[in-house]
Amino acid sequence: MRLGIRGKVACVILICMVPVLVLGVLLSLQQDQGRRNLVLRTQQDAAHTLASDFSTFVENTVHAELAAGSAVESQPYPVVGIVQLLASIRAYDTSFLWLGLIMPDGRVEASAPPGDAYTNVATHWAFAAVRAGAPWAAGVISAPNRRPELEVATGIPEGPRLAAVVDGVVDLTRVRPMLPTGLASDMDGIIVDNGGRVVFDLRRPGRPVNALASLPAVQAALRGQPSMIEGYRDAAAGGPQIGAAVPIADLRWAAVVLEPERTALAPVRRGGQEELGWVVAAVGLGVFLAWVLGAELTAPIVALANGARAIGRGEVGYRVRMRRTDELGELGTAFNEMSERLARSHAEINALQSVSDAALSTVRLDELLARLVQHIASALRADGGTVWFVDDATGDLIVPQDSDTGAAGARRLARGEGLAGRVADGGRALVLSGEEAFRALDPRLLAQGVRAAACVPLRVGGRVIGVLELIARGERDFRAQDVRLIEAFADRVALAVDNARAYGRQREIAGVIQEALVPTPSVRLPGMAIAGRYVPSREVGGDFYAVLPLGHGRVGLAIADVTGKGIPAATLSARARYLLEAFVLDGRPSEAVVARMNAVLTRDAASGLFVSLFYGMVDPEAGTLRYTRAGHPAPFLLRAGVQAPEALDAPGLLLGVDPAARYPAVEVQVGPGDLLAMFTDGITEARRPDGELFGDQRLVDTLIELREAQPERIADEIMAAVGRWSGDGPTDDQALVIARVLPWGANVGERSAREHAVR
Amino acid sequence: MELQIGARTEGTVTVIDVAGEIDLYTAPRLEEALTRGAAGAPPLLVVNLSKTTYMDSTALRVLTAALKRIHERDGTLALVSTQSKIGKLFTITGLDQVFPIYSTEPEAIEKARAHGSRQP
Repeated sequence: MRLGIRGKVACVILICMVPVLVLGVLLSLQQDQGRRNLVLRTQQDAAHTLASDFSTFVENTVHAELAAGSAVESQPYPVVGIVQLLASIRAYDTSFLWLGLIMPDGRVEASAPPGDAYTNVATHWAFAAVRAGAPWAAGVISAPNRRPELEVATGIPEGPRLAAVVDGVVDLTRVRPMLPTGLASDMDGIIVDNGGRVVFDLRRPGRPVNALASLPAVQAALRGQPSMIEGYRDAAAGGPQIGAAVPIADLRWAAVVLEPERTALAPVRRGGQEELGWVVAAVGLGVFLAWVLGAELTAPIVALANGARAIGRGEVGYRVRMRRTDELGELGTAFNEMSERLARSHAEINALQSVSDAALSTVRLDELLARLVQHIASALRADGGTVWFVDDATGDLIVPQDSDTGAAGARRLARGEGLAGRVADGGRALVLSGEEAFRALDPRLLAQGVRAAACVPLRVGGRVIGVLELIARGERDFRAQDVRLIEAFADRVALAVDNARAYGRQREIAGVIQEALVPTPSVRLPGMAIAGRYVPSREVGGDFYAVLPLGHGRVGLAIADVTGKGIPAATLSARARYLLEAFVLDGRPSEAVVARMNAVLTRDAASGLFVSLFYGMVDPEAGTLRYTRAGHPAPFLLRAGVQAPEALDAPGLLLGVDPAARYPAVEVQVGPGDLLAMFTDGITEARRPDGELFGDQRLVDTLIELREAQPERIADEIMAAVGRWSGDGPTDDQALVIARVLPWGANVGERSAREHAVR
Repeated sequence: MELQIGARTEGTVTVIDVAGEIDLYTAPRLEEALTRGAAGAPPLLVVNLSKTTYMDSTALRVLTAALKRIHERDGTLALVSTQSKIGKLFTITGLDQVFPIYSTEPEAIEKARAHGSRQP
């Protein structure tokens, strides 16, 4: 599992909490001991109470006996009277089982109830103790099969002499109601005598007499030392018991309190558990707070991570929102600054890219400059810009048309004049701002409301060919980084300008060559009406056609396509064209013309170019068309009165591929009204934007539809249909020749046909 | 459709698959693939045009130039063409008489291999 920072912080807190937890447990244990002691103290107090209650009870008994004895001694009662007195005391204090007046010699003077139940009391320890001088003494009378009874003997003094002893036997069961039982319900109160024997047991009267005799605490109490009892077990009670044993004053007996540990220590346990609960709760709260605070701590980190990701995705300029003043807040601020700088340089790169794209988008200089200046001005938030060119002849700066998007006014600056002139002369970038500077250097710009300007040279191969000037009308300083950017733009502008100029020169050359090749569009010969169309693509290609009068009314018709574009294609086209003109002279058969063309062009193998050619010779008088095809799309011959056209598709390889290629000739019959359509693949392979080709069939359909029309119109319609088809100007040269065979002799007044046909 | 060119070897024969359009702008890539594929001695090439959707004369020039170079080294360049419009282009230009053209690739490969085994 991967722990986030929050998890780790919580873990650290948890680990830090461990000592606290241990300390808590230790403290709790110590507290437990304290509480346990408190419980024991409580039990000791209960034992003291029990002891004092028992003492009080015994003292009360002693007082009762003393009162009875004193009453007897104060006046000479007859024995019967004494018995009556004792009986009345017994009646009053029902705890007395027996009450007797005993003479110091051990004789029982009187007793209630009368009889001899306790005649031997004089042999008891209590009587002996009193006779030995104790003011009173208590003892236990125990006999087999009888519950122990308490015997209290009180001396009745008469001066220094012992007059008599009042001896009472007390029913210990009568003690219970007389004891104020301040004991908890689970606590047992026990009185043991000086021999450790159980005299009285509050809750368990059946406890064996010697059950507690051997307990060290009981023995200690009998020695006068209050003691705790811990871990006492007896069979009847089950679990361990705790309690206390304390001496009973004056009696040398002990009061014992016992309580099962389970109930006695329940509050201790509860307290401990509670404390432990608090400690655990505190630790839990700590971890929870760590988690929550961790969120507070990690939220900005997560936000920063998201920000970094966003920038990774290209969302430069992404800002993280952070309202903090600590180190993380600082990091956020740094991040935002970085993002902003990235966005700025991204925008600069984009602007450079768009300028580069614009530089590549067209090779027409005027369009190009307008676009470039617009892009650059918007990238730099400038109000306009101008590209000035150095006029090679004079050294002046001039503005070509359309290159100015903001600065009106002068179109020509003398050498060294104004900001642009200085930059062109010095070859170094300059920045102007403030009215004073403009007044001194370029009042022309000041007059136009310009308040800041940056101007950098355009260089091609180290030569300054012009300058790029950017202006701002409002408050705007061009800083060093702006200038660097403008210089980067300027490099691209210079390259684009150079490229456009070079292309323009090339195109001009190719155009001149090509212009020389294309015949006049419309030719009328004695036996034929011919319409030719040629539309060059943007890049000069190598299509051409030729209409060649060959004497005796015969006409050579050729159409050709040279592979490739530009000057190589144009020159090869010219070469092919002149070869053709030379070879067709004297009406040489088509197969011979084509074979010779191939022989010559194959030798030009180095060019890697080849030529497709269709050459046919129409003899209107004989009514024949003899043709040879060399890899060129087959022309269509639509005969008068025949529904579908015939493709003139005699086999034959492209020219320039194989010197040994054979080119057969095919001769077909033609008659007045027959229509011949020759074309290059620029027509049939004109592409609609969705990629579909114009194709043979559309050409054939148009041909059939317009079969009665003049060749001029047929040619126009076909070119228009093809133009509509491809929409955005031809990507390949398009050449088309429509020829109709006329009734022989229809065109009297034939001038020099050659003049018409070939320029 | 963008031009996609892939080359693979079938024993001694290199097969170049040409899918998409070959025109003035993409032909140099075909030229490069042909040059690289013609490294064997003798070079035995099969160019599979069954997925070619469009070819212009530049493509023909590239193929023809490659054929010339391969012939000079006693190799062979066979074409696989299953589409009528591609086949028609070869018919019009007469190049169907120059290139061995087959309607299935295994046949073209078999013929190219046989050509190779005839060479000393």
